[in-house]
Amino acid sequence: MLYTCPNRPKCHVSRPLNAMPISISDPATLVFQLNGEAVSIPASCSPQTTLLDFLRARGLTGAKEGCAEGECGACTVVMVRDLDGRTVYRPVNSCLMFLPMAAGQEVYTVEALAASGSLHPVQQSMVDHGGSQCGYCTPGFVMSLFAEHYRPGRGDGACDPHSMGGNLCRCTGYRPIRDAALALTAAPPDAFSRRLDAPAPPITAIASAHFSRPATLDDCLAILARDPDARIVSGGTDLGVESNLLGRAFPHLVSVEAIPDLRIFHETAREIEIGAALTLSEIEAAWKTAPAAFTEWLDLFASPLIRNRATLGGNLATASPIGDGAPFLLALDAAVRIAGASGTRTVPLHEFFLDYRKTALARAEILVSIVIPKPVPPIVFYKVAKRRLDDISTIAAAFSITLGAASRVTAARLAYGGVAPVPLRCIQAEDILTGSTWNRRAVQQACAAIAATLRPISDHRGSAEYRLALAQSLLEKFFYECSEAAE
Amino acid sequence: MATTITKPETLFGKRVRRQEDPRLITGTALYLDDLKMPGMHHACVVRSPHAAAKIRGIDTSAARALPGVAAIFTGADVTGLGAVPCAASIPGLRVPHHHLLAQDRVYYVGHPVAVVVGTDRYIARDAAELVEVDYEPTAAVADPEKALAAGAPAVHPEWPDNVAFNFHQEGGDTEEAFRQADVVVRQRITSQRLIPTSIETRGVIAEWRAGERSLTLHSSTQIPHLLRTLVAGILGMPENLLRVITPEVGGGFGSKLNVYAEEALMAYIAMKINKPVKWVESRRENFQATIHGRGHVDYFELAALRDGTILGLKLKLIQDLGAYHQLLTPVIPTLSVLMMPGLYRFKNVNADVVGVFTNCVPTDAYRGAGRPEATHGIERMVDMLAQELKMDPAEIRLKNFVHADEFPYGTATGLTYDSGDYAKPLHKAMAEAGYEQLRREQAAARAEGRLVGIGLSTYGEICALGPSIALPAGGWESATVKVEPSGKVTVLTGASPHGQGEETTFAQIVADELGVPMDDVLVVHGDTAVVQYGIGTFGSRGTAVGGSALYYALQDLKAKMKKFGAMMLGTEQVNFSGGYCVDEATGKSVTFAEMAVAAYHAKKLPANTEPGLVATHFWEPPNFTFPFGAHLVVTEVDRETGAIEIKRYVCVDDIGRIINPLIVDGQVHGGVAQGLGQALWEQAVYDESGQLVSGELTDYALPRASRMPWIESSHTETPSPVNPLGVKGVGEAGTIGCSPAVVNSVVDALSPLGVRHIDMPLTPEKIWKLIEGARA
Ligand SMILES: Cc1cc2nc3c(=O)[nH]c(=O)nc-3n(C[C@H](O)[C@H](O)[C@H](O)COP(=O)(O)OP(=O)(O)OC[C@H]3O[C@@H](n4cnc5c(N)ncnc54)[C@H](O)[C@@H]3O)c2cc1C
Ligand code: FES
Ligand code: FES
Repeated sequence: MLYTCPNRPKCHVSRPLNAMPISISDPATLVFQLNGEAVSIPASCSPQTTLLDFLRARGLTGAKEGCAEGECGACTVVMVRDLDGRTVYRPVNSCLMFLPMAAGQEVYTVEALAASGSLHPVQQSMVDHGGSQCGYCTPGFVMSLFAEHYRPGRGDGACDPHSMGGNLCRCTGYRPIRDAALALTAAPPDAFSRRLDAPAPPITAIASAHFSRPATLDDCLAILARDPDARIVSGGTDLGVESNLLGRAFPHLVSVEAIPDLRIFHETAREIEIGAALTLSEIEAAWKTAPAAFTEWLDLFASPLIRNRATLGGNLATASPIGDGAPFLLALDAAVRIAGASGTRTVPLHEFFLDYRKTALARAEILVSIVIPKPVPPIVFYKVAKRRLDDISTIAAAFSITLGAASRVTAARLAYGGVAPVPLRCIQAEDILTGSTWNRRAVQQACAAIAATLRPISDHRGSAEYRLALAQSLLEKFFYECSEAAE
Repeated sequence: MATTITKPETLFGKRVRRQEDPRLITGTALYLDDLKMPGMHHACVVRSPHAAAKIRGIDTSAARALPGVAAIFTGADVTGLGAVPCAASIPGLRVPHHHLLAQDRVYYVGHPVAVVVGTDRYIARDAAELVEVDYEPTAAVADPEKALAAGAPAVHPEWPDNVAFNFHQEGGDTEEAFRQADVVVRQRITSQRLIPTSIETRGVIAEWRAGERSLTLHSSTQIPHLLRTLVAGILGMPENLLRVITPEVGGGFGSKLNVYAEEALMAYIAMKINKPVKWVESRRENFQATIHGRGHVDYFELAALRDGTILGLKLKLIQDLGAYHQLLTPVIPTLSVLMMPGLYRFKNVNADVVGVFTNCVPTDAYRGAGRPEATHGIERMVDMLAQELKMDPAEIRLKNFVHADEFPYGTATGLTYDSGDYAKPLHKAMAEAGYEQLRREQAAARAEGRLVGIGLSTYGEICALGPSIALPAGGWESATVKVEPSGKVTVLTGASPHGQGEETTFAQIVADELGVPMDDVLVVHGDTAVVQYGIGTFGSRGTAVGGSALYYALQDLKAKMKKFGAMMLGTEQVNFSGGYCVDEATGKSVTFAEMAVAAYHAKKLPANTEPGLVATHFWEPPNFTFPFGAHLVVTEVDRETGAIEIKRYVCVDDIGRIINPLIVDGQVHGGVAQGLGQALWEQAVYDESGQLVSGELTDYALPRASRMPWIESSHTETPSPVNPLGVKGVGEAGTIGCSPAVVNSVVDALSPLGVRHIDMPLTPEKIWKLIEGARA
């Protein structure tokens, strides 16, 4: 098939963009499997072309653009990935995937499902329950549900409707779609099932002037040191939005997905080390001893689609004041390992955020992993947003209080997002609590300290007054919940 | 010839799967952005970043220099073309000339200033960034009440008071009603601006055939025929040389019931550059430049006797129009006024509407269009009255309902309600929810200090728009039925469904009337070269008006087929049913396909009968239909954060007869979701300077699956006498019934704190402030 690739990034930029082709020495590395067929990414293509645009330019009309910012899921496609040693289908937002990131990978779109002519059980269930009205969102839902349908270990019961949490529908009110999921049973023993018996494709190395995916940390550091224009991309869920909507040009994208050091999950008696390039879904699968609060935190973080790509490294490095990763990890007293030309250093997370969107990462440094000391203390996470799930926080808070004898607080960590230009811990309030008896009075004093030290801003998500009050009332809420639990 | 005939089951009322689904579910349906034409160019619109500014100059030289840029158009190029049309005919309406591109000023963020055309969309977008517009920002006003204040910046300098029109409607004697009243409740109630947000944005492709001098416009629209007439008018081209095709449309909710500048611009540009040109709106553009909905500030006064009898209502309605009138902008608040009496018997209404210009994108019809605002107002006021009189909200409603034996019922605003039994859905909802028990549980919860609320809304709406007298471009609909020589059936409908499932509903009607399998029926819509003139799909009219037109066309067709059957059987006494014509005396029959062949081969014709089997009917409804229903919502509020949890959602909708429960359920659930969106999360926020702060999906909180409560939906069925199908329309019911029930519930939850009213959306922060306020 003749195919002309959109050879420019989708941009609103105030200067003409030179077409920045991938210009690769070894085009063989730019092949991927699309619906069971090998396709090549044209070397003339800009690395900022999205997977979605590529698919649509090929005439695949199933995946659609509804927003280009990861919110609607109309662009959902499925990738074959390894998850904690098992091969799985992972639905992702193709609008946020830079095309070369698909190289060496295996991608399925809705077009693959009814290739035999009859509807796939997932599609049939959607039809039976009236899951489609205008149909624009439908293939996206189908792909999320498809991945859920084949989830290993799911058994033969209903599919979990939450698996479609990253898909927006404006027509149906979701009920028929949920019914469609609940009506499904075991996945058929078909070719899609059999595919999961074989390993997922490895993440291969790519080297070129404008897109690289180094296989080792050293290679990566070398590239960063050599090219001042190089920009790390991990899951791309932040960078993709910057590219699509803010028109940022990235002359050289360096994917950290293939570097083993960034993809580890190690648990020892002393600490848990989480690779910066593990996706949130991968962490969920790997962290078997995670506290319940982690699962709750994860549920509140973006959507399942985003979680399949978003990494903890990206979340911390982007240093959004309302990011959800920082408060949680701050309350766990986490540290980050950073690699640079001169070696590796470990920085406590509360020293990592320097100013608005500014971190301790120097140029050409890489965030390698996040280290959580053990024992992992009890922790709670709260997020207040317009819609609690899948939404940007108005404020996020994570609290960890360790009690000794006679309800004396031996350690207190009160971490917040959305109350200052950086995510932070309220040390003053922590100091008040530490050593005190965990009671109403101590909590009130801590609240007074919170009120005196935090200086949130007002915006359309919430006024400063509301945020400050929430910062306190969430601590009170935590206290009451603790006392209730104790009763 | 068959002699035993088993009559097929009728499909009316059956939960039939949708005919549309196979193409949608496989991703093979073709939406606008899926279409490609040879040599197609791509357009990008340069939009104003300012809410108000003078344009001192536009420099396109850098953009033109970009390789791949084919053409650039600015305001000066289109001065001579017609304006974006407004179909309203309110006396004294001030209509700003709505040029296709800004001339010397911009009036809102997103106002189109120039169009750049390139060989691909990336080039067009890059080049659009290179267009240098020299703006001189001027003062802007984004709030309709502020716009009315003395000394406010003038949106249009020629009308310094920012008033586009005043509209007054009165029925009965309100002054007298208020004199007689024991109690009067007063409240300012807003219905915030909303962004319709169909998941598919707008898009247009225009193709010019120079040889034929004909133009084909593919547009993601709800009104292909009106679009054709109006775009032809803007361009000054003969209407019959313009063809409008709607591809698959990914949702509209009113936002595509319009004629937009971009539609006319692409048509014009395709002619100018002699190339097909495509424009697809980005999500952010969609938020800035596609119509918004609602935007009301209403001041209500409700007069009543101490026993709860409502006497009359006064309303001052301030409508935020935005900077221009789109197709129906000024009409929407007048629809609100019409529905002000709701389901109640009071005969005295006095309403003043002021339409106000603001430096915002125009408002227009969004799901419900005027009726949700009215329902929200009256249903909130009735609750406040109940609170004031310490009456149960159900009791006060039952006391004031129009009685079941009073239909057709003439209202204070001049409407005639077709049919109804308003107590029925309310009783049913209360029974299903266990109202008495809920109240007991509420009392117990309150004793524990919990904030639990029970809210009702009993709504009425005006649907099946509508008699032609009420709609600027006519309120009828058309249908053609063709039986092909092979016996397959093709329906051409003037309606333009885009998610409502009418390909299925209509096929059900055809199958029942003609006795053919549903799968033999093809429903064609949305191509002006194929389908006779039609009005389109909006205002819950598709089935009630379009389906009725189809029903009548089918009767004509059946009569003709019967003539062929009678001729073939050689008797006058024939019965046409179940796909056969049967000789009543002998039981002999001819099949549908045999009659079709006879009609086309025409070897022999019945007396005074032409060959062929085609019937067309244009149906003018004698009245609107008035669906109604009751929604009951139980909520609990978190004292610490102000978060709201919906614990029960029970709705009983009476939408007349139901053709397909699968489709109706979908409309109800979808409608409720949008009502919840308004009640709890959604709001288009413009800041003081007129910047759209909620300008992307991250900031505009659409309902997500995880936030939808379990909806317990059921129906009562009061057929409408207005049309032969007895249907009323369901597209908007859920949206209209929902928001007041939710707000009433939350106000009820907070009433122990002295709360009487809260404006939407009920954000946790707002609720939290009320709780804090009560503490202080
Ligand atoms: C729809 C949507 C919803 C979202 N919801 C949430 C939410 O609820 N909560 C929340 O916190 N966030 C949310 N986000 C933001 C985003 O998903 C997260 O911040 C995510 O964790 C980023 O990870 P990533 O791997 O995709 O980052 P990327 O986009 O790949 O990178 C982000 C930044 O970090 C840098 N970077 C990445 N990895 C490294 C590394 N190893 N070393 C140094 N620098 C690095 C990149 O150069 C880039 O500047 C949402 C985003 C979207 C699109
Ligand atoms: S297009 Fe909306 S999430 Fe990708
Ligand atoms: S069916 Fe229209 S958006 Fe989901």
